[in-house]
Amino acid sequence: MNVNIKKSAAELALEAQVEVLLENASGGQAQALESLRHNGMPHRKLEPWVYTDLRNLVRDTYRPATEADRGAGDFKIDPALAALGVCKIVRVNGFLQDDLSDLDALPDGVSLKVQDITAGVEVDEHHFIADMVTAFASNSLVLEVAPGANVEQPILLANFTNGSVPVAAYAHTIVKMGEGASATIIESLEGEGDYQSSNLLDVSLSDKANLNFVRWQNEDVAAVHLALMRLTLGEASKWQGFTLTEGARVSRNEMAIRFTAPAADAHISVAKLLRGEQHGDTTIIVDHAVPECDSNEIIKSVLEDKARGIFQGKVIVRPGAHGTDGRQASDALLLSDQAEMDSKPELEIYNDDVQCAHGATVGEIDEDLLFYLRARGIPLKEAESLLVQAHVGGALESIQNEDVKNAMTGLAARWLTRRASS
Amino acid sequence: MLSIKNLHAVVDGQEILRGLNLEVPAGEVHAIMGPNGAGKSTLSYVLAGKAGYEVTKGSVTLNGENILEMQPDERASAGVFLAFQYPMEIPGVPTLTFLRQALNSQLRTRGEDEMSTPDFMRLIREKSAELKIEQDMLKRAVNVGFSGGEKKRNEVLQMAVLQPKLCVLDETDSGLDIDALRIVSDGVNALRSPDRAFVIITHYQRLLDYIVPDKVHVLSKGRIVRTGDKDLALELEDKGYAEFEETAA
Ligand SMILES: Nc1ncnc2c1ncn2[C@@H]1O[C@H](COP(=O)(O)OP(=O)(O)O)[C@@H](O)[C@H]1O
Ligand SMILES: [Mg+2]
Repeated sequence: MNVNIKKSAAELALEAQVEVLLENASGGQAQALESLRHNGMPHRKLEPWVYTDLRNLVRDTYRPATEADRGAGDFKIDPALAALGVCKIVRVNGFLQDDLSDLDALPDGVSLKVQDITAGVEVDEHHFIADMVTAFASNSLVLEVAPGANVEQPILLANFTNGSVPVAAYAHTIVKMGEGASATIIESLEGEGDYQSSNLLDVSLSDKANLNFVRWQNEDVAAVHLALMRLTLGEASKWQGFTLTEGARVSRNEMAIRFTAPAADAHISVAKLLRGEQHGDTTIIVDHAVPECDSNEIIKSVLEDKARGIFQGKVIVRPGAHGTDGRQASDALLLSDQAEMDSKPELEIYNDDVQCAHGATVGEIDEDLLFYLRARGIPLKEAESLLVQAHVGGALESIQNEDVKNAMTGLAARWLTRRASS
Repeated sequence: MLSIKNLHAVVDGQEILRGLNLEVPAGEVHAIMGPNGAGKSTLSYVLAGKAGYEVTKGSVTLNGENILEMQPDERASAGVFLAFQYPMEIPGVPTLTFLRQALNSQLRTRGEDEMSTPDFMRLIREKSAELKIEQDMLKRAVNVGFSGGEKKRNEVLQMAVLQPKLCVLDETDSGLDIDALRIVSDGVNALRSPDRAFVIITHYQRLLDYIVPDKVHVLSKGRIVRTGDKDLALELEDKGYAEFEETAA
């Protein structure tokens, strides 16, 4: 029997937008639009999207935001981040805001430019999120750290979406770390209202570069957030990534990590705190094609109410990648009977000389531990918070900058406070 | 101080405590001895309020207050402290954080002011030195990677910091070598006071050489079957529990 799946409202809206843009598009943008026209919106029949069926989860495809949609909102940096003395680079609805940013005070060795979207995107690999951003974003923000520069001041890439009218915001960011450069970048994703924000990040680390990348996804709980990070690591470079996911109605945070030369390290940790009916998908693909590289993924989820967390991890170790150390660990704490966690850690190994481990646990708060804390006088909610905090702590530990670690710990604790007082 | 009357408790559908009576006046130390499986740990859990330990009959009061109605944390704030036979390991929660939160929670529940950081640190330094607990151990997660003896010393440290009214120690001597036994006993003896009562649960008489009890009770098959002074412990050490296991059947 030939079943024709009925197209959803979101798909029909997307198709219409694609057709309009295709009339005048060329180059990379045209390719992305063609790809969208051909592939449509991802759905559960596609392996990478089995748990996150956009066809079902996204109700509409909103019109791309324009500069005028900024409105009069005040886009305040959270005090916890402001207190870090960050250098701010602020975008609203995907557009760089000179008046809100510290463009005249970039740290030494850091440069920033805005370039046409078609100038810098990889067009050969088609991926829904990349295609969407390439097709609809108007420009790319390029942040470069010069070779050898050791940037102490954290750089904050703040993204706000004003969803007072339903819009779709698209942001493309390119981060290039020069040889031997080191920096700490914090990316915040926030907004207000029912909106869609799509975020494409292309990060490359040259040889011996060292990047601490901390991301705070705190989108409005009505929003849909799609993010794809494509990361390439040069020889002996180090990536230390941390993501705190607590926002959006539906979110997909995908990372594609590729080692291009030996002896590099990628440490990825994620703390995911969801409640209500939030759906949060973390998908990480690590491709070991060269020798002696380490990847380590630590995913700590806390799911309350009817929230649903997803972790899909794939570590590929290709024939030449001897001496690979690849680890994935996903541990989820369910705070209600109706919360759900789906974990799918996978290993694809084509080389014997490797150390790989993967594991996934899903559990509830340990009653015996809870009793021990309560028997010392700590009330139930506080005792639970302490145990939840301890669980999340396993992901926060990897943040190297102590101040940034404290700030992120504070933000995670804030989520717990909202829980304790509810 | 502690008054237990005709206490019956059921665990997993099985009646474990079967009409237990016990009076421990303030200022006294009472030892509870008995064969394995007699219900000693069950009694300690019932006092602390562990879920699944259901009281079906009888009463337990602390200074006239019915504690059976209280949540475990409320009992702790009211002055009940259980030193666990098997202290829990709590990964990710530093011992200091845990102690501080426990103390301040209790103070808050009792309507008192929380303790300031310097005062707290002073208190901890003093008490941990008495128990020969390294400062480094306090920074580690609660009981994680602690030896058996360190766990028991940590229990006594918590007791010393929280200053409870009723201290119930469940087999605190098990797994301790003679030096650790002395340190732990000194810690307990230092806490003896006219307005505090102790229930010391032990299988062996040895501990009672160091913590000399006012009374010794024998618990068998869920009941106190005999009460005497400290010499009763020596007699039990000599004869074993066989007599009680039979008579109580
Ligand atoms: N959680 C439990 N579930 C089932 N049975 C239990 C549980 N705890 C204790 N018991 C049973 O209750 C009885 C008394 O146990 P316990 O109080 O631990 O004895 P003691 O501490 O005197 O050695 C034993 O028969 C034991 O098997
Ligand atoms: Mg026992």
